[in-house]
Amino acid sequence: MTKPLTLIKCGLLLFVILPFTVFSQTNPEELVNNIGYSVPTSPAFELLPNKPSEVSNMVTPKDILATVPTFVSDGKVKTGIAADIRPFSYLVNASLTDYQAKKNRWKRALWRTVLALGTAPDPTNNNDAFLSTGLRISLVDKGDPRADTAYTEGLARAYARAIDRQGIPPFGMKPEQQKARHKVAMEAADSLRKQFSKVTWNRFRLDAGAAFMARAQNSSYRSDSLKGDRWGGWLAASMPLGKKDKWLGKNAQLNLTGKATTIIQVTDDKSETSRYVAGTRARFFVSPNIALSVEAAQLWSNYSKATTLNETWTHFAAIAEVNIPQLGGWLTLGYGGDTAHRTAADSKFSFSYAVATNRIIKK
Amino acid sequence: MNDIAIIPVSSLGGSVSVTVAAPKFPQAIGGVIWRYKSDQAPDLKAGMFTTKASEVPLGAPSVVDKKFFLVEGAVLNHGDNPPTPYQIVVSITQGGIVLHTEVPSVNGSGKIGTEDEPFLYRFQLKSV
Repeated sequence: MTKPLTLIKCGLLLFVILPFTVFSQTNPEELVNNIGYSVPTSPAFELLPNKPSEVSNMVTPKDILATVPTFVSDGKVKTGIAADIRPFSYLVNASLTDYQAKKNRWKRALWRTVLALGTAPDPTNNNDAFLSTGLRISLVDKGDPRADTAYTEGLARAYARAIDRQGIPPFGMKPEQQKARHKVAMEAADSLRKQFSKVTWNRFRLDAGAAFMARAQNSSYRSDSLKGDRWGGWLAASMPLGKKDKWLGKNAQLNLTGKATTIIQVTDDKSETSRYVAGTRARFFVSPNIALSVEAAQLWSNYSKATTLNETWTHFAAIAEVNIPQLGGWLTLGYGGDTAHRTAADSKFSFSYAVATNRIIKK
Repeated sequence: MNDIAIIPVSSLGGSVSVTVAAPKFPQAIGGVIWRYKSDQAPDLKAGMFTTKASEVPLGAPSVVDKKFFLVEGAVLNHGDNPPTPYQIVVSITQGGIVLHTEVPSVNGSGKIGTEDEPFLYRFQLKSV
């Protein structure tokens, strides 16, 4: 157990020393957000020049009928529209018991699959629109709450017991009364949810994602006006760093990621045509008040029409964050950056620090 | 409150049960079935149901005759984003034979995201 007073002393000492040392302008948050170590929630939106602020969820056939027409207006693609759907939710046709059966791993993967569609205006040519579509598949998810029989049954029992404890309601119970009773029961189920996510946050996961973006010339959605612009592919795995009952198994996580983006429609000979990223990250939650993160990634940027411009560089970041209430939040110390490369000749590894209300390293 | 299903049960048949399930979509459900007297005055708890224990025995036809029942339950969320569809099916059986099947009219189907979705179903059994 770390003594809080020692931590506070160390934090204050660092805070006094830090301003006299040479630090980079990059703050630790930028350092850790430089490379994503998971598959994006909606791969389709990663390719768009601007991520949509609002996404319509198409769950029922009625939602689909209401949403699809919003993508077009006067025979043209309407920009700034986004929607997602679980395309196999009706095809899986499984009860929870079927879903939890060992043999049905493909049903589970299909149920978790999300398809997204989004549009955005081309910032360089306002007449054109971008139309992007992508799929995210969670191939393996050992922390899937739905797949855990003991947990789902515990959740159902917690809810039912909480309803039972409130006694028999009037037969013609009013909606407000039902709502109040439901709220009490929901809180009982929520405490179980918190416990579950605390235990399963770093269970093994394997996710894949793919997206394709087309340019709609003059915003027309006719097939002869749609030209492929770029595509992207993502693969990510995360796992505990040790066995379930060991400290590393409970408090540490390893991430592995690979990404590829290829530009189909190259604007000029000196444009980047593809980029590949491979990286790994390890995070350690030492205590509720201390966390560490170490990451390294290799990036390749290719120019197929001018191969002399090709470049490759390494990204590295080591972050430590400590909660110091006397400083009003979290003190984060970082070391890292990118190695120098053609388009960023001045890049180098450096120290950085920040004091923020919210933590950077999150489970 | 005109959404009460009246279900005739055979006075010579076996015991009556109610099953609350979500057969089409993988959703967890839980709740309680309450029993009321023929004047709708509260009587007792008939039983609790969960995803695994979805059947609640209600009793012999003579016991349940003219009694009202209220199914008070919820579909339990798993933080789905985007939300997922759900559908609850309530079945009344006698001696293992299904007498009546219905999707509750109060929130018996819809979509679930990050909040539990409550549902209600009311019915009366009449021995014939």
